[in-house]
Parts: sequence; C-alpha cells; structure tokens
Amino acid sequence: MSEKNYRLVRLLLLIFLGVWLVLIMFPFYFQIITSLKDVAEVNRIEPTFWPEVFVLENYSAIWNEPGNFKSLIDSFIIATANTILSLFFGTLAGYALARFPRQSGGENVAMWILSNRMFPPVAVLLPMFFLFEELFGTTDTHMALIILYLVFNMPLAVWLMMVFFRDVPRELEEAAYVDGHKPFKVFFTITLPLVGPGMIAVAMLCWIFAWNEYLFANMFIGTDVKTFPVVIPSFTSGSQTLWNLVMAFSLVAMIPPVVLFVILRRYMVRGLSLGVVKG
Amino acid sequence: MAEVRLARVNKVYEGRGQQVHAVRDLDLVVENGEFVSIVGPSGCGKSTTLRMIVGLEQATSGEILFDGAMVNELDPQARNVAMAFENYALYPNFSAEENIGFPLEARGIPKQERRRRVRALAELLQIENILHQHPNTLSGGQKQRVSLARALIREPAAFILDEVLGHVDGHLRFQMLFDLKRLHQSLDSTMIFVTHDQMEAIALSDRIAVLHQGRLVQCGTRDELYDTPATRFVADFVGEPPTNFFEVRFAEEGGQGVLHADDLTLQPTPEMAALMRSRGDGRYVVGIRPQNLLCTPRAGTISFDATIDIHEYLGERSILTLRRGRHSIQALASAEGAWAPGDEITLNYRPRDIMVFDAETEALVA
Repeated sequence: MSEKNYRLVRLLLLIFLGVWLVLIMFPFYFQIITSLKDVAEVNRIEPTFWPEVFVLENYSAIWNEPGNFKSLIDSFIIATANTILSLFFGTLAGYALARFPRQSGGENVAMWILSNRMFPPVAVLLPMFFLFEELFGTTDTHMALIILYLVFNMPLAVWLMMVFFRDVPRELEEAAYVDGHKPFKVFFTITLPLVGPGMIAVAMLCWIFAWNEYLFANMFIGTDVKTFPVVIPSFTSGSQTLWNLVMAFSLVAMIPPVVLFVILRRYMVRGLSLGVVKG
Repeated sequence: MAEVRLARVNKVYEGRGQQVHAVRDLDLVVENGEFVSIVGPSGCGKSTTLRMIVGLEQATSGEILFDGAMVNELDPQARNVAMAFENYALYPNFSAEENIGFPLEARGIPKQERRRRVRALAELLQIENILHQHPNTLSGGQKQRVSLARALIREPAAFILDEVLGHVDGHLRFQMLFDLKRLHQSLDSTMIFVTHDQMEAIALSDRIAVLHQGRLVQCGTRDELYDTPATRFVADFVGEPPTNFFEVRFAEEGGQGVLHADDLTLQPTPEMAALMRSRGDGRYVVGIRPQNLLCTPRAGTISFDATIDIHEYLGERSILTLRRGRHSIQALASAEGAWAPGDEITLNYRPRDIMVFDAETEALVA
C-alpha cells in the first residue's frame, strides 16, 4: 500500500471511530448533563444540550429518602453473595464436567444446565414468586434474590468454568499425582490458580447481572429489602418523573461496578497460563 | 529401586459402543537398575503401558508388580514412581525451584532440607542459575531439565520417562542423551523410557521392548533386535536406514536352494535352505539390511548388479538407493566413492546376513 493510501485509510478509520465514539458516548453525556439540570429544564419540550443552571443539589436530593442509600447496600449484598455462590458451584461443577465427562453426564448435562438460561424469564416470573412464597413464607428477603439469581448466573458460571478447566492441561494434574499429592491439594494448588483469571471474568459477569436485575427484584422485594433498580422508578413527584434525580442516582449506582472493574482488571491477565506445556 | 514386572496385562478402552484393545497380554520384566526402552510407532500402546505402570491408568486385567508386590490397586501417589512428561508438565505458577521441590513437599520434608536437596540436584543438572525463574520464561531444554530434576529429586521405585526428548532438537538432544545415560549410571536406578525413536532407545537402553498394535513383539538387547528380529516389523523398525524386503519364492537349482525375487536371485546359507526345504512352503519374505549390502566383495560374499537412482550424502557415509528390476534397494556406502545416478554397480552380501520371514505370519524363520 502506498503512503498516500495508507494515510487515507487511517483517516477514514479515525473518522469512523470518531462517529462511533459520539454515538456511544452521547447517551452517557446526556445522562450527566440531565443529572445537573433543574426540573423545569428537564421537562422542556425542546431539550438543551448544556444545563442553563447547574443544580448540584440533585446529588444531595437523591438521599432525602432514607431507603435510597440502603438500596445500594442491599444491591451490593445480593450481588456479592450471589456471585460467591455462583462461582463456588460453577467451579466445582465446571471441574467435574471438564475432567470427568463420563461420570458427570458430559455434554448432555452441560447443555441442560446452559438451557436453563434460554427460556424467557417472564415466563417463570409468577411461578417463581409463588414457589418462593410457599417455601420461605416471604419473598422480601436478601436470600430470596440471592437464590433466585443462581438460576441465571450458575449456568453461565458452570459453562464458562468448564471451558477454562478444559484448557488446563491434564498432565499438570497427573504430574502432581505422581509427585505424591492428593487430588484436593492438587486442585487447589495447581489447577485453581490457573483458572483464576477466568474466575474473575465469571465473577464480574455474575456480579453485573445481579447488580442490574430489575424484573424479578421488582416482583419479589420492595418493603424490607430494596435493590437500587427498584428505587430508580420511585423518583416521581405527582404526575411528573424527576429525570434529573433518576439520572443522578443511576450515575451514583454506576460507581461500584466501574470501581470493581478497574480493581479486578489487572488480575485478568492470561499470561500465567501461557507456556505451560511445550516449549 | 525396584524390579518392575508386568504379567499378562491388558488394557481395553470402552468408547461409545466400541472397544479399543490398546495393550494385549503384555509380559515384561524390568530388572532392578535396568534401563529398558519401550519403542513402537504411534498408537502401539507404549504410552498406555507407561501410564498403567505409573498408575494413571487402570489395567483391565493382569498384574503389575513392583519387587513382587502387586500395585494394581494403588494410586499414583502410593506407587512411588517418578515420571518425566513429554511436554514437561511444569507447574506454571511455581518457580523452577518450587517445581523441583514439589514431590518432597508431598513427603513432608521440611523447607530447609527441600532447599538443600534442590540446590544439590540443580548443580548436577546445571540449572542453578534458573531456579528462581517461572516455567514460561525457560527455554525448551531448560524446561526439560527442570522436569527431569523434579523426577530425580526423590528416590522412587522406578523412573518413567515419556518421550522426554520429543521436543528437544539437534545438538541439545545429544547432550540430553548423554545426561540421561550418565544419570542412569550414577544412580543405578530402574528406568523405563518410552520413545518412538529407535535411535534414542538404542543409544540408552540395556534392553529394548518393541510394541506393535498393542502386543510386545520382542524384548531384547540391541544386538538381539538387530541380528535376530522376531518379526518383519522389528527388522523394519530397528535400524537406520530401514531394511530392504523382497517377496521371494524358494526353489531348488542345481541341488541347492535359492530364493527368487522376480529377476533377482538370492542365495541363502545351506542351513536356511534345509530349514525351508523341510517346511515345504515356497513363499517367504527376505530382508537384508542396507549395512550388509557391500560395494566391495569380501570372502564368501555373493554379488548382484543394480543401478544407482539416488545418492544421499550423509557426511561419513552415503545412502545409495538402487534399482534392480522392479525392486528399490538401499545400501550404505563409503562417502568417498564416486557414486553417480545411472551407474551400474555390484552389490555384495553374505548369505548369513539374509533374514527369512514367513510370508503369512511375518515371523522370523531363519
């Protein structure tokens, strides 16, 4: 490719990326500026793209309702507990499916587990509600959602962990057995560290799902326990929605996942498992 | 160190409705302190045999004995064998030192002692300077040494080496062969070495076991395999370049037995002829090693003519590929000769260098 063509292609690429960036970032930009407008400006028919007055008080107004901060805590508890359980079961089941396919049912069981994610959640919303009500007496608890979200997160965790475990060479475990170590020790000291980056990726996916889930949360909880997606629609005053507060609160709710991503990203390096076998 | 004995060992893999008989009625004894190689082409069951000895695979039937004690039911942890893997199988999250010391950890040896023993062994294998490194920063040869060190660090009943030179190339391979031989001599340990490369086996072993399609075809010293191969397969597999084979008919001519391979006539010894005569069977396969086809006549040799097709120059010696009728024949010749394709030369052989195999069973007749 000649120098001139190369530059042209680069230019076109940059233009494309620029347009793409604007398309992607505009909603986020609009969310930020909306969270800084006052109610009148938000509800104007012709939208403004820069706040006429900056209303920083929006960010204190969202805490007026005492349950709002607690909703973030509740969301955190539910998402974290569910992630830990999903990872725990996912790791054990994934290992069994990867290493002992015959004894554990193999592809068929793995496929069945995954198929649990395929039905539309709405279809089981009401049955689930009655099931939990009957079993636990109430659905308005942390535990209800922690268990319920396993239905969605565990298949994902099992399937992904199975794939990660398959990537770990069997010889490593065999070498450790021959070296004289018991299977449990081998699993924890040799195998598990190798799938660590995969586990973190799975944890992130599970946590984000549980953090953001609205449909079941709205149905199951709302009095004793509230997650933040249930709180967001409550920012209404009479007949109008206070979009500025909705935007401010959801911006705050974005902070924990973003922080989590930034912290965990560095542990996701696959480098460790490279160069394990062959030279 | 222990004697390893396999008695009528079978291994059958059950797949989806089909059975694969990987190892059939295997009898093999590896004496205490002996170096035995198991060789054979891919899929001959050599790795399966090894895995059964180590305990990573259960024998379907038969007995595996270490010093007379049956170990069939023992886990690999309890068998106390050391194994070096083809692809090294080093633990990537451990340093080289931790890798080598891992078997000692399993035996509850304190950290200080572990460290001391790892250092001592590292010196022997010349890897002291890489002990702190992780496997992904090591070269292939270094990985192989660390993997060998991990096998050598304890005093096992036997060392099992699975194609350990498979990924090592050229110059380093000679160095590793030398190291292995030296280690075996200094440790005086029972070693079982699996390889598909007969040259490695010949270089290292006291005895060589040849496996073919799950069966032990022959187990013996290099000379036994070379001079009296049990079957045509062994004659073909052991030796480089491979043996020349001819399908022949036994006939009587002028009162003595001869072997006709189309227009080429070979002359067996009178003893061979007598044996073939007594069997009354006319069809055989005859093998002559390229090393035994000489370009200069000697006392008692018989000659025939052939035309040079290809001349491969290998440094000290040359491989000549020759044509005689529809036969393609390989012979080793001195590199000094002026061999040119198209030249007709005379090849000489001694009748006792002829190997006669049954045409049906391919077993050695004479």
